[in-house]
Amino acid sequence: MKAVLIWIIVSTPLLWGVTQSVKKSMPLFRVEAVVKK
Amino acid sequence: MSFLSREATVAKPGFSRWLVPPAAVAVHMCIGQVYAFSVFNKPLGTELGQDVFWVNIAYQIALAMLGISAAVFGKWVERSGPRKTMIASCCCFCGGLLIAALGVKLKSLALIWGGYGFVGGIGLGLGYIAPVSTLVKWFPDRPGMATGMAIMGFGGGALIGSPLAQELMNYFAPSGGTGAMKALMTMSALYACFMLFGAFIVRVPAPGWQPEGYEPKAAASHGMITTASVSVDTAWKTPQFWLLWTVLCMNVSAGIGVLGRAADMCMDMFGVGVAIGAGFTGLLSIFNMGGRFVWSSISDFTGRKAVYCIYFILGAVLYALLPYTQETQNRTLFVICTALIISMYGGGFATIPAYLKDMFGTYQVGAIHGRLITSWSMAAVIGPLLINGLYSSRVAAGVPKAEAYNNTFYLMCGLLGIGLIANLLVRPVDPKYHVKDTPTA
Repeated sequence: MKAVLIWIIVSTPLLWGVTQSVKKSMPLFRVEAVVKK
Repeated sequence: MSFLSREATVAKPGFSRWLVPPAAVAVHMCIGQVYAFSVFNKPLGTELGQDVFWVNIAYQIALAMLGISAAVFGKWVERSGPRKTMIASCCCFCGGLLIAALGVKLKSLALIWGGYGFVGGIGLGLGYIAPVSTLVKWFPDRPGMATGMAIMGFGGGALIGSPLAQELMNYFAPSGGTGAMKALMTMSALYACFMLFGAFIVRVPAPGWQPEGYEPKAAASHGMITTASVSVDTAWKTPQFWLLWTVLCMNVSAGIGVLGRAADMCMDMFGVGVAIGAGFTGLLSIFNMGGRFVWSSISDFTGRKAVYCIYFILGAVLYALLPYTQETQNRTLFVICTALIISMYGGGFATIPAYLKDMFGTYQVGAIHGRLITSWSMAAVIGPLLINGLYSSRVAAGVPKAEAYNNTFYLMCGLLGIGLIANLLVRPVDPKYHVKDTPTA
């Protein structure tokens, strides 16, 4: 239980950072999709 | 001060070693903020009335101090243990952020250089090497995976640091100025909480501890994984140290080739807008972070020498493909190639501590790692200098911007070739360098 809690505390900011980067990279894929149409 | 001593951090029987990687990640994801310093360039420039170029010097001082302090304090880190080092790192790094905030208030560029660059940079060096030897001692069966997790945290620090600073500045800006001062102070407090949390939970294994059922693989690895130990003062006199120094330097220099100019490269080569360029940079950051964990974990199965051969050979092939992607305007292939290149750039950082452990043993591997990462500081100078210099000369010679990168890519292939040769020359360390009464844990 303690280990799970510690992993959650540490992973949460990392996951938030990854989410922000994914959001930032979205335009890259949107344009790819438009080009394919 | 006993709470901080190495003895106080020795794990009791029954302690789960899986509690140690989060301690390392907690520290690394804070100090990884340095990669996101550029987000402060414009706000600090505005606050101080200085050109962005002068503000960015703080970042360069910080990176230089990272390498210098890791090399200088490596032996102290080994003696003092991870908890004391993590707390010292926290004091320097978070203190550096506070001094930089004071610099904003007093409009002093020198305080920003001295605070964020010098003091904060020492915190970076201490924090970077602090958990390395602890992790390889806890995970002798999977050193690549263990150190990969920590160093993945460093890559993740950039993903957190940039949006966090941006959000905080947006929040504080309405109360006056750019919000940079209060953002720096808030970040200092947040990072201090995480770094102290890491220092609190970190433990070192008891002397002689080994994972259940673990048997050293020295015999099966043709001597490429030693069970002996080499001291830091001896290690840097061996050819292996300098070959690995070259391996890391070439791998990093080649990775910076893409990372440093990612957005511009994407826009110049494919004529896309700023949003797409920024999106491309965001995607590369994720691969930079993920590659650190994935590649270093793979190295536990393939061996360190083999995985670096993959970085160098596959990296060179991918770089050689980039001009073709521009010629055919194949953006998908370009993104795949560059993402893989950056994942191997991150992988190179993350695999090197385990490579050092294989060559020199666990005795002073943190201190040896500290001296080796001076090659990173060197690469941080060489890489951008070569890339920007060659690109500018091509543009000045009248080559269209879209094609001006081609020679740079071939140059990166050459750097990776040098790294490959250095890696192939790595042999087991001569037993004359081994410490006679091999200390354990």
